[in-house]
Amino acid sequence: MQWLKRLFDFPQDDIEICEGITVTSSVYEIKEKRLLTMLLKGIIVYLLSMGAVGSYLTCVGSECHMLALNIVIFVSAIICSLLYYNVWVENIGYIIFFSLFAALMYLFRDYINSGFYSVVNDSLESAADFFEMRGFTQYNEKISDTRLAITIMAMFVGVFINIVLNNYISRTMRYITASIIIFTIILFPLYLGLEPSTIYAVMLFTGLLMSFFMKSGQHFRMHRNENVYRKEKWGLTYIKDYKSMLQLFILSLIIILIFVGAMNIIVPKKDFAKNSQDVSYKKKTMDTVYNILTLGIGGVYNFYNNTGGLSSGRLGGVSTIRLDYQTDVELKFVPHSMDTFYLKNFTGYEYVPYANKWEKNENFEDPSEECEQVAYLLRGNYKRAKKNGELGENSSKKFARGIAEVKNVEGPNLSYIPYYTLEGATPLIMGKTKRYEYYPRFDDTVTATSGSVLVAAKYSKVPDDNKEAIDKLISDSGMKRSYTVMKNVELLEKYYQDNVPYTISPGATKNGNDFVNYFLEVNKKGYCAHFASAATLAFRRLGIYARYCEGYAISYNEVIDEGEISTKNNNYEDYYEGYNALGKTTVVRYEATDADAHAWVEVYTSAKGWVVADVTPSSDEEDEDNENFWSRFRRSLENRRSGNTGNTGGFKIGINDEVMKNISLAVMFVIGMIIIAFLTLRLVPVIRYKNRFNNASLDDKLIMKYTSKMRRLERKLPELKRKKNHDMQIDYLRDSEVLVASGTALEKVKNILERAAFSKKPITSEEYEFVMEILKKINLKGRKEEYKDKED
Amino acid sequence: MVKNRRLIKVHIFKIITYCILLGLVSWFYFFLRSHLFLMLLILMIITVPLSIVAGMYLSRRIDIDLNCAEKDIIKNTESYVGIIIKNPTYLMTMNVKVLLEAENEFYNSKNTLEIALPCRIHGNYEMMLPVNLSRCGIVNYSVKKIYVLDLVGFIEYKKNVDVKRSVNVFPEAETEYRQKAGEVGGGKTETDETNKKGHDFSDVSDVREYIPGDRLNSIHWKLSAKKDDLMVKDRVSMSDEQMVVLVDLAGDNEVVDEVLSLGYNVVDSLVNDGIFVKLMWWKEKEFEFETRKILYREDLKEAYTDMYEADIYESNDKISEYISGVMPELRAYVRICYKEGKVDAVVEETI
Repeated sequence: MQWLKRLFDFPQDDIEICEGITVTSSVYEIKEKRLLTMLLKGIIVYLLSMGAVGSYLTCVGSECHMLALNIVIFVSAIICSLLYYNVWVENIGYIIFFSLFAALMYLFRDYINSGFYSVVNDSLESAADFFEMRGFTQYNEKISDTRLAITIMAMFVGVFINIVLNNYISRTMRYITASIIIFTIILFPLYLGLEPSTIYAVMLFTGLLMSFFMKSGQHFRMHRNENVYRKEKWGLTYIKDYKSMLQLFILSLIIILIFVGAMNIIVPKKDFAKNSQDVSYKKKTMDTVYNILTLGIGGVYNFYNNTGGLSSGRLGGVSTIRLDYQTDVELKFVPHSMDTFYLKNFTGYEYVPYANKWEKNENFEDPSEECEQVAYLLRGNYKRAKKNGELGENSSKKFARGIAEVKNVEGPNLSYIPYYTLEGATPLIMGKTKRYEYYPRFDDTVTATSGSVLVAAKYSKVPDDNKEAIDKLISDSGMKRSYTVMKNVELLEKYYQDNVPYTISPGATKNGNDFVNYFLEVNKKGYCAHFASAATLAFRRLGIYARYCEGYAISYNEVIDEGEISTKNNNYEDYYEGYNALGKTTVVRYEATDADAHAWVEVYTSAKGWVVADVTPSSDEEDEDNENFWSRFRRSLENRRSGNTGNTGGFKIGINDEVMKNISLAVMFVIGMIIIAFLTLRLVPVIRYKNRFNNASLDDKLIMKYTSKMRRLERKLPELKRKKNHDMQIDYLRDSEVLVASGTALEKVKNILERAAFSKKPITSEEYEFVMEILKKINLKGRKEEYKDKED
Repeated sequence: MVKNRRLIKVHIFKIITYCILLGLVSWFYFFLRSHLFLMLLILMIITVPLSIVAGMYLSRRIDIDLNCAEKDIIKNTESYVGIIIKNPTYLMTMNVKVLLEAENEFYNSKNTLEIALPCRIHGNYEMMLPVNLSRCGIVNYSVKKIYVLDLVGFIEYKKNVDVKRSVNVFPEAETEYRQKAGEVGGGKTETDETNKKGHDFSDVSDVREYIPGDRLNSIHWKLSAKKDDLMVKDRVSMSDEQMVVLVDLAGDNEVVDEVLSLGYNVVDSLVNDGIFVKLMWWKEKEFEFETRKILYREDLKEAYTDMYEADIYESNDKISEYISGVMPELRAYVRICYKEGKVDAVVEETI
């Protein structure tokens, strides 16, 4: 029946210590207000739940009204804690609380729904950045004010977490269960390499440390009465002491503030993130996680190793491409033709069916170097023309040299190589800028080299699993081996345009299906990666060397519509020299977004070497007109809309990492000052004593030494305090056998001390040394039993 | 305060659990390479030694004291024992186990009660333990050791201390027992005296100057005022005008306790009535009688305090013989004893 007693806290009995001695039951009448300890437990719950919610939101960058969120979660945590006041309050209170919660959820369902999807979208965006993919499902957000929607949703989530945690923390301080709940919530953003704001890390750690200490201290249980003490099997225990709990809370907070502050100085978050990118066994899980994100739980069973939109050859499970229109790459160059300007960052060598990916050419020389052969020739032509003074925008010699300045703003860490350049495919790290020297090809005078065909021949493999579908494509499109390369390209392009619609929402490739086969036989719609992959295999099937490419394709129209003239410190001559099909244009700065990301095909022709074969049909073609560059640019400037949309204003309260760092430093400073003050207070008397001692006469030195020795002894021998003079003190030390020396020696010591204290005749240094030697013989361990613990 | 060697008690299960958690956090850190998990991991690692060192230091500096407000307690009334934990440091712990030993020397009963208390930062924690003492005797409260648990709960530091407090428990006033005094006091030879409380009925043999230690009751105020110096009355020994009361400490604990209560009430009542009492009890070990002259209540308390150091014995039928041998001039005395199934005050004639 112990559990029943504990549940209802039946009155407890007297405790008989032994016969005739009983602790009465009035010990249970010693009371303390439960509200105080309940409040403190509520604060622990608040720290944990707000820590979890705040961590998640700050990790994925979801903006909300933090102050309001904090207030609501704090108040609800306190209310949840106070619900355990007594059985009636708990039972009725919970019913009312849940009813209210459910009613409010219903009332605010649209906001909650919208806020939830908003956070999901932010999370998926973060995931897209992490996986360097551009395609994730986007959820529709009903409420335009995302900040408000997220705030309301987070409030409900926070209150729910409060209810759950309160049960574990207030009753039984199960910090392990609470930790599991909290870290499950924030595991996903941590997996993506995101870190929460310091303030929420502080909250989390303070709550965890506090609950851990409470649990370890064994006095954490919730009781329904206000008794301070309780009888247990083994004895009597206190069950609540709010002052200790409050002190523990403050101690935990100070420890965490100092610790987090120190950690942020020793191992700053930003620097840490840079060095933590490469984790081998995490990489093994990335494919599975990515599948789950794109295909849901079914993605766990997906046979693909990789799924995604465009980047590094991974294909497959993208249902809808979600374009964020954020700048990935900033390009500065001089437009020189109406052809699309390509920045290539991936070249696919071999298609792996069912794994749905293009693999790079790891074993051979970098395929981008293939372009170098053409680039060499083009460069040679350019130099010769320059030497002969034949360069010019309108020269008959269509040779030129351009500089493309590429800055990786937020794009993947890959290379961004324009056609045709001698630069290697070195990855361009985010934030960095690189200038590529390239040589545009305007005519077909430059041919392929004999060496390049050997490399090109390697790009001919068609997997057996795809042959059937590819053959059908070839047959339907009318392509033939006997046709020239460019004719086949043309036929395929036309076939695609007429029969296979372009869409950014083609639906994910179903589980167990091959990407190309599914596109050609089942889905029959797709985006550039679909068209380019199938086209590459089709050309190879026809014996045409072809390779799959990814990167950014910036059309002439886009340059005109979205580019900005950038002449400040950017001279035309610095960026371009030679023939320009558009005449003397200007330096244009263009911000390429994921809308410009593209996949295309390169085919090898004996006449021209590797050329771009972009067979992806356009979804919304614009008519090209013959208006010149400047007229079109001016028109575009007039038509261009200005201004940004987005959430502006709003009262934003938050404590950013910098502030937290300052707070931690301030706390460390205060603690440091207290320690210094403490040490100063202890050290100053010592220093003054030393100073006085050094300046004292021998007599005074002896008295000072003796007095100091007696003071130290008095702490261990309280009885010594009663002895008023040195005679009595030495007699006591002798009698208690703490000081063992001959009677003569002790008498001499007394005499010397007397003279030192009262006589005008100074003592000698020998006498001083003698007394010091005797005093050294004081040994507390040797004292008599009866002289130990003498108390009144 | 004697501080002997300290021992520790290690909570292995908690350490194992903690190590498992630490392993888990480490795994998560190495998998996620998260700064948050790095901080958590380091926090978990440094908390343990800090807590252990802090616990060790705290256990050295912590102090225990006992406080009994009253030295003399009446039986079956609630008294308090204050247990004070003194912490001069700025550290704390949520669990200090105090082993409070309570002992009644007279009845040889002794046991220990474990009490768990918190230790606050730089302050005292006092617990007033309400105790009911239902047996007469000298009750000793002592604390010989305490256990200080560190904040993470891994190590309990044992600290030997030596704090002791004693209280004297005297019987409570019982009307029924006081009536007995009236019954037994009826046959005594009395002088003609007033019935004022505290008034000494014995004849004054001499008046002399006050010596420090003389009772205030003996001061001859009138004469002192006249002489301008304190004068006290020297009284005649009342060996033949006194009541001899023998408290027989034979029987079991319950019986003896009742005997003590009866004896106390009887003597107290007699003293209150102005009757001079000679209180005696048999000391089995020393094989002799202990005698006390009881003139005032304070004398009675003192006598009882000394009586509590005697031993209870099973029975001794030869007490009467012994009394006759020791005090041949005594004709009769009052014996407080257990007889015929009850505790009674019996007037016995000497052999």
